[in-house]
This record gives sequence, structure tokens and C-alpha cells, in this order.
Amino acid sequence: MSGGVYGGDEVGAIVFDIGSYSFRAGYAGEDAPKADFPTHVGVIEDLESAMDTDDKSDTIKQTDKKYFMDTPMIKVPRKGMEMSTFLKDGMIEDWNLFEKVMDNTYERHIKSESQLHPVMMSEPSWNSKGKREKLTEIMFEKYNIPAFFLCKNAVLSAFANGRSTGLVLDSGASHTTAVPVYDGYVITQAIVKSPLAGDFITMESKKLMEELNIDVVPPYMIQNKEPVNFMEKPIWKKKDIPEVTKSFHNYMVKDVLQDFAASVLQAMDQPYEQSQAETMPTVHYEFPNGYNQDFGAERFKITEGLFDPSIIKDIPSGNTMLSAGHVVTTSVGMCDIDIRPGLYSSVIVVGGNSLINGFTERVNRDLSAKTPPSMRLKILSATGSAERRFSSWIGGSILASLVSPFQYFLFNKVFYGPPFIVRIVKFLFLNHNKHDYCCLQSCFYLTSGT
Amino acid sequence: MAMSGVKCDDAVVTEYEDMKMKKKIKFLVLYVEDNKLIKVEREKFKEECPDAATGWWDTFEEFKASLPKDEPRYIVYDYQLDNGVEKLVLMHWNPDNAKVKPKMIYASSIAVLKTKLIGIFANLSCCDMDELEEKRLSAEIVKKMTKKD
Repeated sequence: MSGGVYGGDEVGAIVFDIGSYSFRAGYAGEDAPKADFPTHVGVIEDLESAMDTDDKSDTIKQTDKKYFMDTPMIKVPRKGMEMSTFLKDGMIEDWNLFEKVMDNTYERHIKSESQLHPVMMSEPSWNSKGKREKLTEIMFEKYNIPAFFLCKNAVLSAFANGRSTGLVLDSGASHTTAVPVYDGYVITQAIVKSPLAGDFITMESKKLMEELNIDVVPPYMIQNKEPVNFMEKPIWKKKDIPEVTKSFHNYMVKDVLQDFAASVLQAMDQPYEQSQAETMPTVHYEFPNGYNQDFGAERFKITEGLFDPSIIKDIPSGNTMLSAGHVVTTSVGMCDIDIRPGLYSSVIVVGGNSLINGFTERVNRDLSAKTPPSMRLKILSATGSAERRFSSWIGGSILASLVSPFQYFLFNKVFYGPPFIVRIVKFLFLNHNKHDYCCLQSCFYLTSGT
Repeated sequence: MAMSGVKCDDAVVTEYEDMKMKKKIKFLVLYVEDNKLIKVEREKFKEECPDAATGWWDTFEEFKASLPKDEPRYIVYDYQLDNGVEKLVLMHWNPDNAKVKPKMIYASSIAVLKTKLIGIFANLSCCDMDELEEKRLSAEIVKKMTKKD
């Protein structure tokens, strides 16, 4: 082992897992993340208007922008606050905003100095070399962390389910992906993505509300309301609030629809049929403004789009999107024939969107119809909602708390010192890509000669 | 080296080499001690197996029953095909009802065994008792053998 290695046992590593909907952070070794907050950030461009708000202490000022993070901060109506995110396609796009979020996380959730803790961070399996490089740079140069370990989130999810080989079906907010993992490495060329995920469900719910002429009023607009009878016109009074931006309003509407989706929607256990869906029990739902109604067949029809994209209405440019089952079969089909049985025998279902009632059962049914009979199909999914939403965080937490992966795979300051920085980083990342290793561990091998 | 930083005890390698060369051991059960070191939990000699001469079905059942129900293990098994050919198989016993942490440790550390134990013919990962069966084991070996030809 080269010099400069600290004992990983005593130092609590911090685990970060960034999803398109929420950002998870916490100490390694714990069962659940300390913090789980929206990835979205509220930004006010003009300092003058930002001054109107009362709580200055909780925000981070920067020349002429104000940032609002965390659920209690962003869900407050403020004049001119735009909602934005630093992610694009699961990867970090806006580094400036990302740094703001990290500052806030260290200050409010981790409550410790960044230079004391090694960091384990998950990255999307399709992360690019440049982004990885930039992230490493920020973590070392800005946060001064002692060691850094980047791991693909699909690998962490697979490990957390006890598999080193398997196919990870991750249905999150912005996309559903199938990522084959073999012996702890991601087969990057066989990753398949589809936009049919949580945000799609929210959009479909929105369309349904428009069809049914239901006005979705987010809670921030409501001063008071009175109970009304079933399907009666709601009686509520509008709150006196500053003029908000469209992005804020949409975000809040989305919030209501997400709650609607979580409490009402369900996936049919077989292909959708109107007559059959109508016989299913209805579910009662009350909107924030007091309006309430029963939902019957609709609650199955919305989710059906995930499994059969041909029923989705008004999609531009034909219908080329892949259903959840199809994503899996396509991805497996792109892998070597010898490893296919291993992938089919452990299909690991993770992600917040997979928590829709009946999701796994339906995936199971769709896949059994498509799997060659010679192959054994097995679908694995954690039962608890926290385990499923945080599977990659939990995986990272366990891995980082083990003997000390950092001792072996650390990418620490010894390598990332100023004299070596350009040479080693370039060298490492080049080799990293060439050999298609899953994360930075290869870097360590190459430099330390072990 | 495995991702978890778990190491393999030298005794495991010695025991395995012994098994490979002298062909006296039927199987080795390995476990991870204190999340740090892979060690031999127990071994079974072929002469202890009641039916070693004619077949091994009985001992396989016995072997299955002896595995912990809710903890993962690694097993090196000297499997005998119907035609008498013996092949070494590395099995990853990973019951679904095990806790997340041991599951994670065993899954992320199997790579170290794969590099240390030279001459393993086939790998098998089993998640419940139904999966851990002779047919799968032999099929896996036969597949590998025919592929080589």
C-alpha cells in the first residue's frame, strides 16, 4: 500500500446519491440516508426582490442570486423564484448550482467539515469521462476531501441485493433504465434507457385532470377551504401571495400529482382492458382544495403506458418508446449470450417509480412472456419503500463502512496532488475508459502497481 | 482485489490447493470473518461421505441441509459427473432472506476468491434451496465442457 493511507475504519465516510428527483446524503454504515431532499433548487435572480423574504439566514447569497434548497425552503411562494435543477439526463450539468447544493448539504445535513470525511458518491452508469473528471476536481479542490470513491449506482443496487451479476431495472423520476452488471462491472454498451418513468406518470395524470376538468390547486395557494360533498364544486379562498413564476407553480402542481399517483394509481397485472379495469374497486382521492372524487378505470389506464406505450395518446414522432419489460429484454439481448441466463435469473427492480402498486408483478408477467423458455426468470425487489428508493444509497453506505474500500480503491490526495494532477488524472481517466472498468478503482491499480 | 476490501485467508488457498491436488475433500464452506477475511468454516472429506463410491446425491442433499438458512456462504464443491469426471465449482450461496449487509459483503467480495482460487471450473450463484440443485450444477459444468470442445 502506498503512503498516505488513513485507517478507513475510524473515519465515517459520507455517502451521496443523486437522483433526478431527490438527493440522498448521509453517513456510511447507517440504514437510511440522513437527508433526502429534492434535487430542485429555487433561484431568485434579483437580490432586491429576494430581500423581501424574511429568512435570510437559511439561504446562500451570491452576487445577485439567491438559492433556496430543501423541502421547507423551496415550497414557499416567493416572487420571481424559478425552479431549476443541476441535472440533465441524470448527469450533473450545472456545476455552479451543484456546488451550492453541496455547500448546503454539508452545512445543514452533514454538519461536519468536508475535509474530515472520505466521500463515496454514486454516479449514473452512463456518466461521461469529462463529468467524472470535473466532479473529482470539485470534490478535491473545493471540498478538500481526503479520499473519493465513485461507484456506479447500478452496481451498488446489485450488491445491496446480494448479486454481483444481474440486471438492474431502475425506474426513477426522469427515466427507466436497464443496466446489466456482470461480476460487479457495468456493461456500458448494453444500457437501455426509456423516458417512461415517474415524470411521465405525472404528465399523464395532468392530462387526465385536464380531461376531467379538474383544476389542480397546489396547497400554497389555499388560504382556507370547507369540506364539500363528493364531486361538488370546491369552496376555498385564495391566499394572498406574491406573484410566483410558472416553473414554481408547475413544480407545486407536480407535487400534488405525485401524491395523487402514489396514492391512487395501480398497475394492472395483465394488459389493460377497459371492461376489466371498470370492475376493479375505485379509490377515493381528495385534492388540496377540498374537491374529491372516486377514480376507477383511470387509475389503471395511466400506468398502462409504462408497459404498453402504444396506448399513449398524442406522442410526437411516432411511438418508439420502450416499455418496462422491453427495456429489460433489449438490454439483455445486447449482452453476450453466455451471460444472459445470469442476467435473467436476477432482474433487480429499484427506483421510486417501481413503488406503484403492482409494478413488479406486471414486469414479472411481461418478462415471463418474453423470456426464452430455457432461461430461468427471477425478479428481485426490496419490500420496503425506503430500501427500494434508496437502494443505491444503502449499497454505498454498506460498502463504504466495510473494512475500508477506500484503502484499496481510494483515489486520494496522494494521487491528486498538484504536481501530478494533470498527468495522473488524464492518464487515469484515459485508462479507465479503455479498460471499461466500472469506477476509479482501476486508477488505483495503475498508479500503485498492485 | 474485491471491491469491499475483504481479503482471502492464506489457509483458504492452501486448503483449496490441497483439495485440487489430492482430491480428498468433497467440499469447503467459506465464510467472511468480521467483514474482513474469508476463512474456511468447515470441510468435508470424501471418505466421510456415505455414498462416495456410487453417487453423491445423498451427500448433496445433506450438504444442502447443512447450509445456514439466512446467511450467505461461499462453497467450493468437487462435483463428480455421471461419467466420473470431477470438476471444482465455486458456489455463492446467497439466500434471499439474509440481511442486506452480509449479502452486500459476500456479493462484493466474491471477486477476490475468483482471483485467488486457480482452477475453478464453473461458478454458480444460488438464492434459495430450489436453485441449489444438482441438475443446475451439472448443466453448468456440461455447458462449459461442451463449449471448450
